[in-house]
Amino acid sequence: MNNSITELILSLDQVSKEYDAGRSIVRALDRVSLELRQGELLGIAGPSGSGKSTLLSIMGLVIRPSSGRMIFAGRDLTHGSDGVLRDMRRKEIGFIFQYFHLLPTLTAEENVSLSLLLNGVSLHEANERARLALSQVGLLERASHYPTQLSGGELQRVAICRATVHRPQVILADEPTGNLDTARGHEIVDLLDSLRRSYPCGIAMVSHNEEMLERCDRIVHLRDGKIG
Amino acid sequence: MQGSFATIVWLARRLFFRRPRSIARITLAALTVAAALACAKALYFAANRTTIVIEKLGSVLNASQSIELIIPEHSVSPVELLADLPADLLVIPFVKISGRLIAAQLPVTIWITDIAPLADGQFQPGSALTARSDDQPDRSMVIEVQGQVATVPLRGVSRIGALVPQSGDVYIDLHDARSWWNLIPEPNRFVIIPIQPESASRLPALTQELRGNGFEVISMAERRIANRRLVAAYQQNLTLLILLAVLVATAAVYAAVEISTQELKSDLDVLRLLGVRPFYLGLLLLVEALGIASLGVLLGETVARPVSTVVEHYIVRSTDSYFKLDLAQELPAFGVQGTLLSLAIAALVAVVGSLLQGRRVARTPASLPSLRQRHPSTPRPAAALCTAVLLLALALLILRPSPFAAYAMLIALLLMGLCIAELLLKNSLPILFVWCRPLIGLVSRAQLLSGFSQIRGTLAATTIAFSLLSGIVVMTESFRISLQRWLGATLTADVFIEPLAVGQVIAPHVVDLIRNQPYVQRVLEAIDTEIVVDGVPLLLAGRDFAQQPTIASGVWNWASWNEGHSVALSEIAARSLSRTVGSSLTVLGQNRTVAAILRDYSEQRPLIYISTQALRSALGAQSSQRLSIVVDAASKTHAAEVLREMLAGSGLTVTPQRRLMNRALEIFDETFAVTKVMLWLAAIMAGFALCLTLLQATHEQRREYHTLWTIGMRDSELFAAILLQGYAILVCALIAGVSSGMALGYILVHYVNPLSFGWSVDFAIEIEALSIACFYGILVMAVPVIIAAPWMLSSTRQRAQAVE
Repeated sequence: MNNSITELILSLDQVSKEYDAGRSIVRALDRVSLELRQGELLGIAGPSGSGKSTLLSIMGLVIRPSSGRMIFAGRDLTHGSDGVLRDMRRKEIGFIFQYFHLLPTLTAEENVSLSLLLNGVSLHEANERARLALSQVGLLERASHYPTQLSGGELQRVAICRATVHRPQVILADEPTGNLDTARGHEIVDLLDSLRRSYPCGIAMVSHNEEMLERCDRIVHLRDGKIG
Repeated sequence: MQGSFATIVWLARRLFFRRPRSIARITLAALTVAAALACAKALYFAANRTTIVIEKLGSVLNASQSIELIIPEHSVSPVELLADLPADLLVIPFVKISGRLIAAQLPVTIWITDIAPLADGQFQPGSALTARSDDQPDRSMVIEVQGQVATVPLRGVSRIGALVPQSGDVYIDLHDARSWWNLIPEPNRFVIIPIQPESASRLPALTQELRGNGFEVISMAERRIANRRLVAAYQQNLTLLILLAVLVATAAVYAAVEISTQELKSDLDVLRLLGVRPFYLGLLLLVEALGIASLGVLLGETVARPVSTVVEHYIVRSTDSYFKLDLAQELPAFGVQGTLLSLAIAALVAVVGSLLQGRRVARTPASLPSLRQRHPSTPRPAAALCTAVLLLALALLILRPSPFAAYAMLIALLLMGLCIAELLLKNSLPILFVWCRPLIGLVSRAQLLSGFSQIRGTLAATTIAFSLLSGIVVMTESFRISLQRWLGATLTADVFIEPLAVGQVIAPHVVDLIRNQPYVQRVLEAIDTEIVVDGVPLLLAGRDFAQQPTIASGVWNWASWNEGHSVALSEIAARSLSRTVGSSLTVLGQNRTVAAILRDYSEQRPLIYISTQALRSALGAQSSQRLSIVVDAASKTHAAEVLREMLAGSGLTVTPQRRLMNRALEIFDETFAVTKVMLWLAAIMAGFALCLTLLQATHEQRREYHTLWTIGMRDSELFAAILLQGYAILVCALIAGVSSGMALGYILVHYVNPLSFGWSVDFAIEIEALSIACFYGILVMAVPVIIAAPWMLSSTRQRAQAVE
């Protein structure tokens, strides 16, 4: 448990999300309220179809809720424009995916640089910082390797570097250990754990793995779109 | 699943036809094919237009056994000799005279005879027959003969054309000719035709006897063989370009097949995991590939039909100013044949594509994820193979020049062009992207390399299209520049004077009058007369040259020329007579040396050039038919006007040099107007191909784009990245295509063109024209790039909205 959990970064208040499925309306999230604070590692658990990915997409400002309020770093973004959401997403949120989603024809270093380039950092500085980030996760020697030349654990570490190199306030991890064995999974959670200590950020992690969830500060269980 | 082909078809239908995006792909592939086919049709039309008449004439009458008897001027009439001929040899007398088409201001040859027995019932008194087909009874030409003008209604081609196969000639009945023009001379040609096939055996002896009596005799069979050879060579020239257009269509179909199989990859992986054998997966791909190819070709054909009609009419309007072709009658065959050929090619491509793709699928372990790394690499084996073929073709071309060697060389060049394009795209990307923002460059490069397998086919199509485009430009411009140079050397005088009426001459006292004008520096005279040398009918051209003419080979010697010891030949004459520089030739009873082979783009007839003085020495006093006047520098601007006033009412036309030069270039530009259409078609073809690529590539990579969008990449940045990809493909295809196109133009100019026209042409690269062509190409191709980018963006948004 982290004792330095302080400031509120993200807050969802009575958030619902509905999809039009043709003949019927599917409610993926039903009046969910949730908070994420600096330094917190929040676990999100639940069976398939319970709304975990939808929740993560709303937290990540990828989609808007159908109803409810969404406050990010003190700003009410419920009715924020596409541009505002995108800018917040680019600067303040880092994504980690189960299948890594690294660009296959970019080297590890280039994949990490990408996040910095997106935020207007010069190419030279982006490369420097990417190499520093890779060295911190023990992958400096693999910086010039392409994704297919890396193992699953290495791929996820590169993905974490890409998600965090620009120091976002929120890191969203969708099953970050789902594609790895237990040992590699623990390494990844160790890394996430150390991240929230290294700079002020909150991490939300979706997982099915009880062992990994036990290491979170708090666990939210979702069932049929509601927090159980 | 394993057992029946019907199951495969069932599955293919569901995998293939239930994908809405396939429709876009098929449409684009079909449009590429359509543009290619339209281009092929335009070329086919151009290739055949000039040869239709000769082809038709050959089938009209068994006249290939006949002989043509030419009666030189001042020679004894052969009427008595011919009266003794056996009854199984038909003798048809002709009067061959020259006229001028008033509207077009072009010369026309008129054959006058008793037409009714020869006209297959087509003849109507008061009308003329033409060697070209024209069934519009209301169409007529105004023809001037010896200063007299008559309006002549036209009818279609007749068997007479088979007797005197000169396309563009006019055949008029003797009775009508006398009513339209006075002073029709006595027959100066006789055509002798064996009525029975066995009578043909008499002709060799008769030919010998007539030649023994001093008459010139031409074998029609020999003339027809020479004509056919010319036709074949001309068609070879354009057939090659047709093949290139078909190749573009083929590449487009293959690209569609390849992309489709990749799109199905994950489905195929699932099927393999379910235990379906690779053989059945191959069948599945084949069914789908055949579907795409067939639909593409059929749609392409449907689109190509109206497009090619427009193109054909455009060509007719720009090049057939005084004779009109009935296209529906002249070119009915290409539609069916072209469709069948295209279908056959597409089916073959589909089979090959499926086999290759099927093999690739079979070799891939089923457990691997669909997304695999593609590293930048070089197409080394392909490049090595191309180099080998290129060297082999080059050796063939040098050791044994032939159309086959030229074509092999062209194919090798094209393959090299493709390798160059691939090398450029894979290895020069940092250079291409150096001007853009690092983020855009990085993403564009990554996506381009990631989707390279989807791009390969279309990169080939775009490269070939550019190759075709620049090849045509280089060929046409080389010809135009050579023509300009030739005109510059030929039209060196300032003013040109000739009689208004064809066949008239310029009286000597008029020549003296002009020569005595104070501002006239030189008067150059021209006299033309027909002769036969070694059985070949030629035009003997008496010329005074103001400066050295354009030499194709040999060395110009003024002393030898002025003394009449040497003659020069046109390139066509050199070929017809099998003479080279230094050969001897008996002209006007005297043995003369061939000093040079000259270029002459004004005459398809073979020409022997001799100095006017030497011609007069041999034939006696001959009046000039044309005068070229060189005036002093101060009088250049107004000399033509002064001479025109002075010669008013004398029946002579006075033309300044600049007007003649411009008119010649105008005619050239009209004749080659078809190339402009081909340029646009080639550019549009490449545009469709590029559009197809970008849409597919962005679709295939939507997951990566979605990731980029999710992590905060702006729409404008994604748009810029896609634009950059499109232009990277464009630039690489442009560089490789233009390089190989210039090489292609070189082969066309130096090897294929001499076979076709008999004229040599300087290889010239007109940077301005090439730049304009490339600019057109880039302009046309901006459209697909701009279409593809928003499509991808909307696809990305849809994916983002469809989470969960």
